Amino acid sequence: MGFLARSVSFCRYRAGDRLPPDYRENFLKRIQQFAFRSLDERPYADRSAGWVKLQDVYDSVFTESDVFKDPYLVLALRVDVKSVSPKILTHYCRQAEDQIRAQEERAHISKERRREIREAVHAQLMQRALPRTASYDMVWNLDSGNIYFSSVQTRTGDDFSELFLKTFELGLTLVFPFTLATQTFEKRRWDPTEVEHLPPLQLVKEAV
Amino acid sequence: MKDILSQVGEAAHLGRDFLIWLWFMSDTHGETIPAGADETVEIAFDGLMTLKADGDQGEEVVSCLGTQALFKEARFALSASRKIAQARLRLHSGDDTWTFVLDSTWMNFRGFKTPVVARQDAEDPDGLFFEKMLLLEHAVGLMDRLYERFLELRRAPDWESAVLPALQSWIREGRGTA
Repeated sequence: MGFLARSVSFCRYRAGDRLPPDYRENFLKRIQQFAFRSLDERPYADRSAGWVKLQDVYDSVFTESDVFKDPYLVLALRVDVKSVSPKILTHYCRQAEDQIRAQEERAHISKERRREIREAVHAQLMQRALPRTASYDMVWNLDSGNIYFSSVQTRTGDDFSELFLKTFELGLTLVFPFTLATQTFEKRRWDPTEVEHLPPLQLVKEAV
Repeated sequence: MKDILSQVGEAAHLGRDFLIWLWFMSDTHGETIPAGADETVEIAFDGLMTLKADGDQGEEVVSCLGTQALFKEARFALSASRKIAQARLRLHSGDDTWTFVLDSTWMNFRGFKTPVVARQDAEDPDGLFFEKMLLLEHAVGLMDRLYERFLELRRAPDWESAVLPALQSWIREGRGTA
């Protein structure tokens, strides 16, 4: 669920570098370049990730007003994944092996042949499988550099970082206690290397 | 340059210590905490907390739901090598109240709820979005300022002599009150 929902889970990033002078036009082109592509267009892929509009997961044709809501840049990451359950794969492999044994009148199928059958059956089932679709909102405050991403899952965060870096070619820092402390120390002009040397709280008083 | 997982591992105590300090402040300062030069916020620990311990049998997770008495027991458990993993917080500033679960390792916000916002208006389709983001950024900014306040106290010379003994006493008080 995204940022317009009643409840949302999110993590934060910071975009590091300064925006290029012609960023609006440039970003719009690059967003379109990395827009979501359906798995139907990529028959051998089992996973596809790309940008879609914030409130329409099926729309990946962008205009400037879809993306720029000043001071924010808003997009959603759509991830489609196709998979075949191991149980179903095993069932269809057995069927295929039984058919071959009957056709070729043999009791044994070699390990190598069984591997080939498994690969062929897997490819057939993948073509028939429907993808699972998920989408995650990204809201980037272009004035402050703060980015809010509506997922707390590591794998999704990796997909997001990779796509963000490819699309915008800017630095991206995940905000967590260490990086937030370092940013705070830099802002307050304290020595940021101190952060690494802050020891854990001693919660129990040591006996004298 | 260290990778993220190394940084997270080596500095995992920062988020935990921040949550403990917040808990201590909300419990001992009537829930009102200075979040900047002229702003205070109210923080309440809102009935859900998860503690973790590394035991012989692997990681042990203890979830505390509900009463203040249980929370006192959980507080004392901090001295027995339990570590705070996440807590549900209620943040109040001005007329606004937010609730969310803050996790100590990544400082992610889970189940984040803003104050109620009027539904989308046909004449202003982006109104809901801007209102939601304004409220979200306000709450995140307040939490960042509280974290900054914690770091400021943490590196101050009188941390060891003034704040830490009070915090240690507060943890000890949790014993036997459940």
